[in-house]
Formats: sequence, C-alpha cells, structure tokens
Amino acid sequence: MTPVWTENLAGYARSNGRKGIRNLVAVLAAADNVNPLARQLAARVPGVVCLPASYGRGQMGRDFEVTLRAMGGLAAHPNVAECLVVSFEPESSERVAARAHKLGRSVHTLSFLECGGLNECLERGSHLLRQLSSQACDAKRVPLKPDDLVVGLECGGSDTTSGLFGNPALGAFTDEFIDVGGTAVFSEPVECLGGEELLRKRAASEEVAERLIATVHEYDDLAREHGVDLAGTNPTPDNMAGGLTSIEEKSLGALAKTGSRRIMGVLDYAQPSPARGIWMMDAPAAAVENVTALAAGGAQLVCFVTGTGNPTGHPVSPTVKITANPGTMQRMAEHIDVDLTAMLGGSMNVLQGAQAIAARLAAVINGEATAAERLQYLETNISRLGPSV
Amino acid sequence: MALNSVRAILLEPNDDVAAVLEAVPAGGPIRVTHAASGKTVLDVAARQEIPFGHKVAVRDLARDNPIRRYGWPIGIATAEIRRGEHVHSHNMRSALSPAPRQQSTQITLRPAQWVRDLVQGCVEAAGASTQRASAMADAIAEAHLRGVETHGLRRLSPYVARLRAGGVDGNAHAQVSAMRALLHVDGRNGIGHHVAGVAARAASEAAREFGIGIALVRNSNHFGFAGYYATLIAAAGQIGIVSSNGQVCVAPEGAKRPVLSNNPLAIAAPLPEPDAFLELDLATSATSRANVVEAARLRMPLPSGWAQDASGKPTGDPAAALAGSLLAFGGNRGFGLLVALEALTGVLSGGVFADQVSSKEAAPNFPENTAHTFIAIDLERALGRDAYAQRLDQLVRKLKELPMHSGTPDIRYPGERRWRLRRERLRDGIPLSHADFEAATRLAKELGVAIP
Repeated sequence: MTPVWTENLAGYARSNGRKGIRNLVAVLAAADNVNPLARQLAARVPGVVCLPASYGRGQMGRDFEVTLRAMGGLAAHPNVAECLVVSFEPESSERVAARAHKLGRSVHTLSFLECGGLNECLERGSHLLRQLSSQACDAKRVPLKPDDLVVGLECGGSDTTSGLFGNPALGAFTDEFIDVGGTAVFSEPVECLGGEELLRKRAASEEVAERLIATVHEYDDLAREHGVDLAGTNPTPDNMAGGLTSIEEKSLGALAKTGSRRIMGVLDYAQPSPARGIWMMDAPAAAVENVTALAAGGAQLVCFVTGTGNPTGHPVSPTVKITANPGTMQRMAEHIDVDLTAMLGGSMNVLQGAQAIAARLAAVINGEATAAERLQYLETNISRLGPSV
Repeated sequence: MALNSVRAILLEPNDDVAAVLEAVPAGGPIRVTHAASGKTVLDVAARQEIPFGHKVAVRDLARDNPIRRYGWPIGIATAEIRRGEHVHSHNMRSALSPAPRQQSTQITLRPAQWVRDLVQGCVEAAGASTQRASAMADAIAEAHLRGVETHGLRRLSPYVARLRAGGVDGNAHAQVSAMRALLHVDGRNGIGHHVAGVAARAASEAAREFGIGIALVRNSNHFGFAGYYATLIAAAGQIGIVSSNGQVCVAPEGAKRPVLSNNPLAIAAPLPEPDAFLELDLATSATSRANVVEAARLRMPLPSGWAQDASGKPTGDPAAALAGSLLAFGGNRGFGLLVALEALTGVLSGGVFADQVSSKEAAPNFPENTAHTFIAIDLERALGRDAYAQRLDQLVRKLKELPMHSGTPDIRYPGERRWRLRRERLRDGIPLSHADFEAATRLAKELGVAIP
C-alpha cells in the first residue's frame, strides 16, 4: 500500500532518466583558481547556483579521483537542469564534463585559455548562463514516485533528544520509504563504531557485512594513527552527562535514523547507489563535507536530525532539518523544518514523528523551500583525502 | 500515581532500559511507555535519583549480562541491577573498550636488528637514500633499546608521510661550514636524524681538534630523542650537550596560545664501563602531549600545573588542554630554561624559532625548519678521559651510598635505567606493544616492504 505522502509528488525529467526536485542552473569551478570567475558569473545571472572548488589542482590518487567523481556527480545532479563547468585550462573542465557524461548528462564548459581574460569569460559565460536559464524552463514536470528518489540521512549536533526521538522517527520514516521502493544513503561510518553487531545482522550478505565493518574500522584506524582512540574517548563527557554510557549506545542512537531494513552495501565517496534500498557511504562525518558527499552521490534531498542545532544546507540537495529539542526549537526556529518537540511531551509517538517528517518532505519535494534554502545558508565542500604536490 | 509519574521511553519491546524524560528523585514514580505505540509497559519507582535522559532498568539484570537498548546490546552489567535502578557507568560498561586496551598490552619480542631493518626498508621505500634511511633506523632502534618508545616506531608513519608528501627531502645533503670550533650546518630540509648525526659528528671532530666543538643547525626536521646524539658524542670520550626546538606546544602561564616547543636538553658523559653513560634527557614541558591524549582517552583529569586552556586559564580537562597549551615543567624556572634553550638553538642558528617552526601533523608537505644545537667538550683536553670517568663514577657512588629512609626506591643517576634496559634488550630482544607492532608492519605492507 502506498503511503499518503507519496501521492501527487512531481519532479523534473532529466535526459538520463533520473528526476530532480529542483530545476537549478549551476556554475561549477573545476579548481580553486577559477572560483572568482564562478562567483562573479553566478552574481551576474539571477538564480544561478555557484559551486566553488576547494582544491582541484595538484591532487593525487584517491583524493583526486574522489574530487573528480564528486564534481561530476554535482554537475550531473538530477536537481541541476543545466551546468556550466569553468576552469583555467580547457582540460580541467572537460575532465569534469566527461564524468558528468558517464552519468548520462551533458554539461557546458568554459575556460580562460579558450576565452581570454576575465571580462571575456564573464561576457561569454553570462550570455551562456542566460540561455541555459531559459532552456531550464523547458524541463518537463513529471509525476515522481518513491523509486525515483534517493534520500540522504544525516545527524549532527546530536543530543539526548536525537537518540530518543529524532533518529528513531527518521528511522521509522526510512523503513516505510524503503518498503515503497525508495533509496536511502547514510554515511558517517565513524559514528557506527560499536554498532558492528547491528551492521552485521542488517547486511544484505556476508560480504557486505565484512565491507561495512571494515569501512567503520578504517576510520578507527585512521583516528588511532593520529593519536585519537575513538572507543576510549566516546562517549564524550557531554554525552555521559546526557546519559550515554557506552560507545555502542551512542552509535546505535546514530544508526537509529537508518531504520531496520537490510543494508545493501558500501558506496565510495560520492558514488551513486547502483540499486534501490539503503546504503552506507564511506565519507567523513563533518556536516558540510558529508552532505556534499551525499549530494554528489545523487541524493535529491537530505534529512538531517539535529539536537543542539545545525544550520547547514547543501546548495544542490535541499537539506531538511529535524529536531525534537525544545530549546533548539526556541533558539533556532528559523533553521528547523520539522518540529518533533511534541514527542518529548508524549503527544506524538515515533510513527507520528515519521509522518511529520514525510509530510514536510512531500512539500519540499514539490518545491517548498527548506529553512536552509530560505536563509541561503548553503555550502558545498568536497572532502580532502590526501595531500597535494 | 500515574498523574505525577515521570515518563520514560522504551525504544524496543525487548530493551532492558528506558530513558526518563525528566529528572526523577529517589522513590519517584516512573511510567515506562513504548516509543512506537505510546502504550504504557510498566510503572516502576526509581531506586535512586535519575537525571533527565538517563536510563532506568525495566527488569532485574544479572551481573556480566548484556544490557539492551535500541534492540541491541549497548554494554555489560558490572553489578547486579534491580528494576528501577539508574543504569550508567557505575553499573555498566562498554563491551568494546576493554578489548583494544587488552590488545595494547600484548607484547611482541623482536631483536633490535628487526626494528632497524623495518625502518630502513620503509624509509627507503618512501624515497630516502640508504645512508639517510640508516640514520633514522639506528635512532629508532636505539629509542626502543633504551625504553624511549615515544620516539620509536610510532613515529615512523608520520615520518614516512612527510617524506612521501615532500615535506622532508630524503636525499638532501646537509651542508657543514666550519669556522674552527664553530660549525654552521644547513640541514637543507633533510631527514632530521641524518642531519643531527652529521652535525653531532662534526662537533665531535672539532672538539677532538680544538677541545670544544659547537654545531648550530638550521633547516632540519624532527631528529628523534636528543639523548641519542648526546651519547653519540659521549661515546667518543667527550661530553655531549644537545638541544633542539620543534613543534610549538608550550605557553607561559596565562598566555592564550603556545609559543615555544618543549625544547629538550640532553647532557651525556662517559662512565668507566663501556656500555654505561650518564644521559640526562629532559623535555621542558610539564608533560608530553601524548600523555594528555592518553588522559583524554581514559577520561582522567590532568594534575595541576600541566596545561592551560585556549583562554590561558589553568585546566585539568585534557580536551581543553589539547585545544590550549602545555605548561613548562617547574613553573617559571622551567619556562626560563626553555626560553634560554631556544636562545641557544633557533635564535643562535640563524634559522627559524619559536612559533615559526611548522607543525608535524598539520602540514606534512611543508618543511618543519627545526633548529638544533650540539656541543662537544673533549675530555682528553679537559682532564683526561679516564680521570673524568673515574671522577664521574665517584659522584655516582656518592649518590648510591646515601643513607635512605626505608621503603624509598634506590637513587638512580640520569641514564641508568636507559642503559640497563639497553643491555637487557640487546640480550633478550625488544618488547613491542601491539599498537607499535601492528602500525609498523601495516606500514611496511602498504609500502611493499618485506617484513624482516
């Protein structure tokens, strides 16, 4: 039986068969040396989203691969109708264009070496972006079903209310969403340390179980190499004061947002999910990086549970903020999309919490702005996984 | 009862604990409700005061049994727990955290040659020349022989990372320019152990000729433990005095950020026996950063006088200390010694000093620009090598023969423990912690180096 919230959803058809919930025109910098160009272009044409780069030059190995994959994923994102990739030398933007092409989307490129100086780049670029903006208006609005959607799951600024209400409510929503054919991606493997037994039981196969646990332990090893013992320093004194006793308990609280369905596998950073169901993405936990990884992997929106509050949203994937903390609801109401504080008083149970999340998601999918979109509190940043030369 | 009850949430039907949604006094009524259905499962009285968000047991739990929440075990009962009791760290522990700690006490015995070969292989694989890799391999093997594990294999991975990132030049040729007894050494961003070895030998040779030799080194990198170079000089029948600057971590009392490293001072001199030396080797911080990281892991408060937070206030919280600064040992006297040592190293060498030295962790592709100072005094010129060794032995015996209050440990002279350990470990092998052994062999595998 299809739940009520999934009725009457609509999105934008893209050439590769995916559907977007926004119809953005984006300008993406292929490296940090053209960020000023990207910013000035975005400022010239109303409505254009700017996706600056943090690095992009001199990167090597997995770090470079992840950067390219993430840039390609953002350029080809279903929420993006048209994308202009800018660079200094043509090869850099063409490299990103090739990644987008692999994902079934064509993008436009522009480089200093082909154009000349900044003024010529701005002239040609803004002309092109104006054309793209009007082309974007032609995107076909089509009905959207749960199986068209990839939803990112995230929590940050977690507290007692996250583990008790916010995450279990999102978990209940996730279960229902997976059951009607949706795809969900959670991440932050570092926050699964101590939840290995749950991951093993929920893994779709023995092989997936090994991958999940190995991914979690990689972060533990990485932390150890830098002198941090995660199992020894978690729960933190703050967590302890809030009533958490063990790292298992903390991780299970974070994993509660992922519901109870079988975990299909581990995705590398910004890798699109190859099939429906729920997946774990291998990406660092810091909010901006993590939401960027989920967006670059093709998530059309992100559900973000917070306890003490977190303003972050991604410019490409609308980020829905959920809290059950009454203090946060008072202090930071303008940043919150879903108010679950009634769960604390007992007038809302977990399933009702899940319904509240679903209702808000339906509205956001159909075009209502999230708090972060309204406040333009949007940031993108691809994780740095190694040094450059 | 129900009207005044505090609500507690049971997340899954088979959970052993529920979380209370308000603080409950001892004896206060609690109504446990199931999260999904909102149905009341149980009414129970709190056996102790339970703070907001904390767990109450919904059934009796036997000691050593798992405790479930979210439908999964979250830990193990460390005591009998009765229904209505507060469940927290006093009667429950993680099932995970003891495991790595037990592992860390596992010991693997390896000969010094094993450590030397493994380091040599890894450092060469990271692009360093054989001779330069060998300088680091000797210093790291010596650190383990003398029980200075803090400068042993656990440093290898960051050293290799810096070599591979280009932060250290594995083939640089340290340049020595001599003005009689005074030598200037430009490390040219080479491996610190190699540069320090070159400088220590140059100072020692100058002392042989002039009675004293001083090498001032700039543009070097982390060289391991200072005592090693002081005893290199002492083994040539000289007194060795060594200092260095390094990564910034120490602040004067009240300062909001660190400004100096914990510059070590090492002084070594030969004793009559061939394999014993006086070897003083002290860092000038009240403690090492590694000790603060360990305290954070164990959630232990720091003793006063160790550290201050980022606002310059004294702190016992290891997390606040890590964000702030370490203090010098011995209050203002220690800080004074530290400043004077920096005046003799970074400042005197003409290289980089104080907070201009790069952080090892933050910038692996950036030269550290460490400065060192090596002083060698030739004993043959002073009063004869053997005469000095005999007189030093007399000093040691004066210490050893002091009448002592019963129950106090024997007096040790500086370096006594290190050289006793070294003799034992040369004979029996080096005990490597599980963490050191694992990290080093994993690194060797990554680099494709055959494990000896």
